[in-house]
Amino acid sequence: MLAGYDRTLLSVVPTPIRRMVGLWLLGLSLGLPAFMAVFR
Amino acid sequence: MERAGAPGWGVMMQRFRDGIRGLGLPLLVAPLWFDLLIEMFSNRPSRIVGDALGIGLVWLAVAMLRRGGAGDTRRAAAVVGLAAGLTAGLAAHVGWLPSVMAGFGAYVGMRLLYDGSFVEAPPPPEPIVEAPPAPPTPVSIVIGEAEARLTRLRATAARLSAPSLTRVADAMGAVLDDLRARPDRLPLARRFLVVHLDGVDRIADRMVAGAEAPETLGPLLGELERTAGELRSHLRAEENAALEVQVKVLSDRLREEGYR
Repeated sequence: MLAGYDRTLLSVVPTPIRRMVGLWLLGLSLGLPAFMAVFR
Repeated sequence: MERAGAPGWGVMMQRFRDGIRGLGLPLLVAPLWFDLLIEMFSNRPSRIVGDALGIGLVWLAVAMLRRGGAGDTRRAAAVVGLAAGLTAGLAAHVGWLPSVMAGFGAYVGMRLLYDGSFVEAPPPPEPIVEAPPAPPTPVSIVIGEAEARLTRLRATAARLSAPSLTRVADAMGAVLDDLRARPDRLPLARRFLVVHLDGVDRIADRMVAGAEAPETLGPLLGELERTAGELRSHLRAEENAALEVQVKVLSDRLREEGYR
């Protein structure tokens, strides 16, 4: 499960939190611009 | 109680997650479809391009994620980063700095979300289409044919009263006897049976037809006799090597199991 993170500092962060942060970041960086495109 | 062989909850959950892997990404850019329609009517080409690229690149990233090969997560993250940057820059027109930040943010988000979530498998090797092997000639047929030739050769040698031909036939007969005992060694002696025996057979035919034996025939027959002897010793050496291996394997086994 953690194979991709074993060598990084992120390995100390619990997986569910990491996934949630990832989802949030993705929503902010991809979802928000896509949403903004409709209203500009 | 769980049935033996039925997948557990963990396995089923993983299968479900593999099944829907990446399919949430197109939902994030779903508003771009709507915007694409609007921009088509407003006739703003740069925004149309931004929308199309945002939608297309995200689907490309989904395809990469679902392929799941080595390094695909990283590539998919880069493609989503590019899609986010282009969406922000071209479709949403938010300026270059926020666009770059959106691209970087989407890349990091993808890495956080998908890195290590599944084991990346190397791409499956191309299936190798092998030609069906030619049906092998049964060993007994090959040996039987060789025997028939040898019998004819012996009869011819007796008729011509050629002792050198008889000696060659005897030497070849000895090889055949060995092969009959161990038919699996036939591939080692097939060339001998095909080329040498056939050659001697033709020579005997010519002599029966009244041809004068050239001077070189004697040494040639001697050579053939010697080759047959060499082949026998080669076959025997193979047997010996196989026996040695068997003895070693068995004695190692006994030693491992503590009997020696």
